[in-house]
Amino acid sequence: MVIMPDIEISDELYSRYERLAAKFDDFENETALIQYLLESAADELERNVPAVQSDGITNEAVKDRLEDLGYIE
Amino acid sequence: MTDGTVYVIGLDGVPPELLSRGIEAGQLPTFARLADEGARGTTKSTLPPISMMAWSTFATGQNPGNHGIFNFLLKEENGYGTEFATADQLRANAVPFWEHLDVQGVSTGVMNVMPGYPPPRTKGFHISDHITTPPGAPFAHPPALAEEFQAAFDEFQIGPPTAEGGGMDRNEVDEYVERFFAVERDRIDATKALIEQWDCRVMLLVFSAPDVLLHEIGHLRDPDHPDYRQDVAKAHADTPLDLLEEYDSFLEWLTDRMANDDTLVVLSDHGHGPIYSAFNLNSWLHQEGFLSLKSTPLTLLKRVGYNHLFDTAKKGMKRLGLYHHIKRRVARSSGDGGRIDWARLLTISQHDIDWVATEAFTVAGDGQIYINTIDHADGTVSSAEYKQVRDSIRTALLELEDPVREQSVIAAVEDGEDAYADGQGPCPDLVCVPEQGYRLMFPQTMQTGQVFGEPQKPASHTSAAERDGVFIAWGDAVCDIDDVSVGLDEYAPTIFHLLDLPIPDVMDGTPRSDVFECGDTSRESYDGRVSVKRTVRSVVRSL
Repeated sequence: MVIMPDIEISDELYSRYERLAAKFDDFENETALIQYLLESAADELERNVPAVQSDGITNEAVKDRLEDLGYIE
Repeated sequence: MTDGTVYVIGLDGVPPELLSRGIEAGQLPTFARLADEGARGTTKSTLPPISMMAWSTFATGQNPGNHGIFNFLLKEENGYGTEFATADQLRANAVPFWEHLDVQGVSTGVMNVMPGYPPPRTKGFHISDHITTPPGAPFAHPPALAEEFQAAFDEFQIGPPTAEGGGMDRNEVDEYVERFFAVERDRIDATKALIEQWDCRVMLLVFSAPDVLLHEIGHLRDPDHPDYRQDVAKAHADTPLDLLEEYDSFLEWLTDRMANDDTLVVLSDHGHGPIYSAFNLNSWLHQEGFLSLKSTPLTLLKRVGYNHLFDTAKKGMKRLGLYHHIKRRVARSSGDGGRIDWARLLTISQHDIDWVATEAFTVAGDGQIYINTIDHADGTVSSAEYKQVRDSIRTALLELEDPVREQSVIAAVEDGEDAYADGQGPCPDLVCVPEQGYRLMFPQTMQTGQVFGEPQKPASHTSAAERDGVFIAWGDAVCDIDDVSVGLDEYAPTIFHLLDLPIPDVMDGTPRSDVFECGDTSRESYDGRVSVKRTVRSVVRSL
């Protein structure tokens, strides 16, 4: 385990993480939450997968398909 | 419990009796072997047994009252507006199990589970479904997967083709079936490629084709059906079984390559059966005085038109092959920014309902009724009146007789809170279960004088008889057991149980330790980790 003394966070930010950790049952404490957050962020940045640029659902297309299947008359 | 891969193969809409018939006829040797060597039974679907609600229940391990996807069309809370169900809506209300697995670092491959668009960015791959994906939209995550598919499979389509209003003579059905099988064989090849290329701990692969095919030609096995044509039936009554043969070969391929510690589950989300008649619930509510229409000149004019001229005009347009086209053009004019909203002008829709004089209404097909309670914008039914209104509707529906077929139409009417335990948000107040052979329809226009009509498709899944789907499980972790009934909300917790992972405490279903050898059955909260993952993905996506 590496201790990172150079990372400074304000008391206020730390308190916010304390409150967030208390909000969820699955984090033992704020340190567990921060560690999970950092790990998730690293995973996601490393994946380097472009986001799917999703289009909005077009009601007409959905309606057409539901009509073709007989769910809308 | 298993250290291997869990394969879940969904065959949308396959009725247990069709599978049994194929097994007994010797047409489906792999299904027969899996059922013989593993566990066999049925899947108990939702009420009503419709795919959007059923797969959402499967995906979340939650009752519809908790995941909030009650139908293809969802009613807004305390209002009358509707919108189509999407993956984003499901994720806003609940957590699909692949997100729970993702926070445990477990990768999943998900294909065609509705509502699947937009596809999530969880570890593994995700291909959206044929209902919610807009034409031409990016249907896969990672996005490169879509490009690979399009390059490798010339005909690759995200879902099976429908007959799109085409006719049902012999040549037309021949042509449709040929096109249908070409697309589906391509999709099966694509599925094999996914299995070969991706190392996922859980593979959830759904084929929507059985449901689509049965909607189109499922009635051809029923000589009493009004749309039965002997020449077409001679050629195509067994076509749904031919399709199951394709999946039988696929399962043979899959089981040959599975490792000893892998597990296979095959299920369908509901059954299927012929539909003889459709029943328009909103028209019936209107006739019984529970739903009122406005008295404006336009609404009155439309009522006259639909009750006295429409059927003749419809027949004429159908004869000329124009009806489907015109109907679609009219429906599409609603909200398309064009000069004239033909749908509003020509159809009797929600815009014509006099809400301040309405006690009950539907917003979609398949029998869910909402009471216009006073928490709606123009609500009329107080808490004191609620029970009496619900009881009146229930009594009248259960007494209802079809004058032509001389039989009851509605077999049961359930209270929403019973059908959808702990129902939250815009939960239906009543759920009607039709008798076999009836479909409770939601037409885009309401013929106030006509509560019975022709069904849009000759086969569907709506009554209690079509509520059961298929269930087969096979592998070393599977117990030798027959005649089990597995609820759709039990699959997700059972997958965690199989993988020896704590079951998310939000899941309503219980793991089936009578069917699969025991793993972890403890429960824990995943809420914080899911929230962190979602937030991180949202932030990274915006970078």
